[in-house]
Amino acid sequence: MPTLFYFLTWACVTFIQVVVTPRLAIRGVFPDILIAVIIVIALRYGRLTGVWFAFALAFSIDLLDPQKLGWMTLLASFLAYGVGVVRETIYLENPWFESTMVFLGTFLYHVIYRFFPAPQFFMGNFSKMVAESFLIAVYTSAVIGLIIMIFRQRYGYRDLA
Amino acid sequence: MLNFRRGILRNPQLIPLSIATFVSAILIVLPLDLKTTVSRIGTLSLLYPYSELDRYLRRIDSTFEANRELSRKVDSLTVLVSRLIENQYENDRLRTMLGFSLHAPMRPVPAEVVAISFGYPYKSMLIGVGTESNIGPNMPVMSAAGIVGKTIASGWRSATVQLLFDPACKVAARIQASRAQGIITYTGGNYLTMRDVPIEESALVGDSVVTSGLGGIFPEGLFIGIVIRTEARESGLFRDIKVLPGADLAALDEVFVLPATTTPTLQVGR
Repeated sequence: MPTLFYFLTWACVTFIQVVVTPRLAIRGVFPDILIAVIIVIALRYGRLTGVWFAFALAFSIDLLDPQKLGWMTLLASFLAYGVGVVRETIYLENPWFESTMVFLGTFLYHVIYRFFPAPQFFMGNFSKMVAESFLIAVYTSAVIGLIIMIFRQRYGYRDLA
Repeated sequence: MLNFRRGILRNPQLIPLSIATFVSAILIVLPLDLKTTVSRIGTLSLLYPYSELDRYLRRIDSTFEANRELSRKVDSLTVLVSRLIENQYENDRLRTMLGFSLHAPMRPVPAEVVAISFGYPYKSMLIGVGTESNIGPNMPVMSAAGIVGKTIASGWRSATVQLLFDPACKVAARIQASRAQGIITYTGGNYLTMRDVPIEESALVGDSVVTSGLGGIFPEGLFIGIVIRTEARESGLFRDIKVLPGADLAALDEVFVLPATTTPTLQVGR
């Protein structure tokens, strides 16, 4: 059952990330569902599951961009590990905490993902890059927060997992 | 190394992270040609249904609008083409008389778009032709609406195209009407920037921007886009011109690669 659950989640998230997300972009800012799901999975199932899941998910999306191949996989795996560590130390089981983690994780991930493959371009457009990462994080956490709230109202918090 | 192994054994939760780091590091340091091949194999196997669906939806998005636009253009272009054919004959005759060699005809190689990088604006894409069709690096890639970018690496049946929205992609360009020259590059936003244009050169909103042929990669006269805004620099000597690219990079299904052609040269002594 867990294998099927993870496979279906992988299939759904890949579908949303490749097909749906680019169509939700507002002036170049899109919700990064992939990173949000990685954070939520790492928060709920721990760093071990989080890192495996992040690796599989990020690797498949990484394939779309040969120039940056490997960066998304690397950063997403570290992000999942970091979130897993947070879970073991200060995890609070409420939607606000998860939304805040999604916001912080997405922001941090996007800043680093923009910096590493092209540091010179990043520093030349520092404020623009940071603002873009911030808006993506806001958009993503808003979407994920909304989904968590809806599920929580309908099915209760624990059943969501 | 021994300490690292001990650390891993003491904390087995580090094993997946170590494997992920190792695989990612290998992928990052791979040469771009190999990355292109890996990307193509992965896209055509793991992501095939998703990328096909994405391409199909993009095609639907653009087809309706393109149809209306195209039918309007066809009428005016039919007249224009017949005039241009006449001009071409006249041009060839005059070039021969002046001692210039004739322009080598371009033989574009059609290519299917296999995958496009994630995130907007799109910075690179994978196309389905490669060294098998004599496609190598640094060859211009264009669509019917204008240039799209250039190839930067090629595998057997695939090539990576660096799109105009990649900050590393620079194109020598000129404004078609005033002949003012500059370098087209991406500096952010949804448009390109033509930099270092002298302030005294004329550039009006709506002017066409074409390649100047000076960079050595793009032949002269390929359409890039139209001027949408001009901005004077603080120094007062130069200005930057914002250019809206003609090709819609989000809705590309097929593109054309232009293999290297002979550039016109003056034949001394004739």
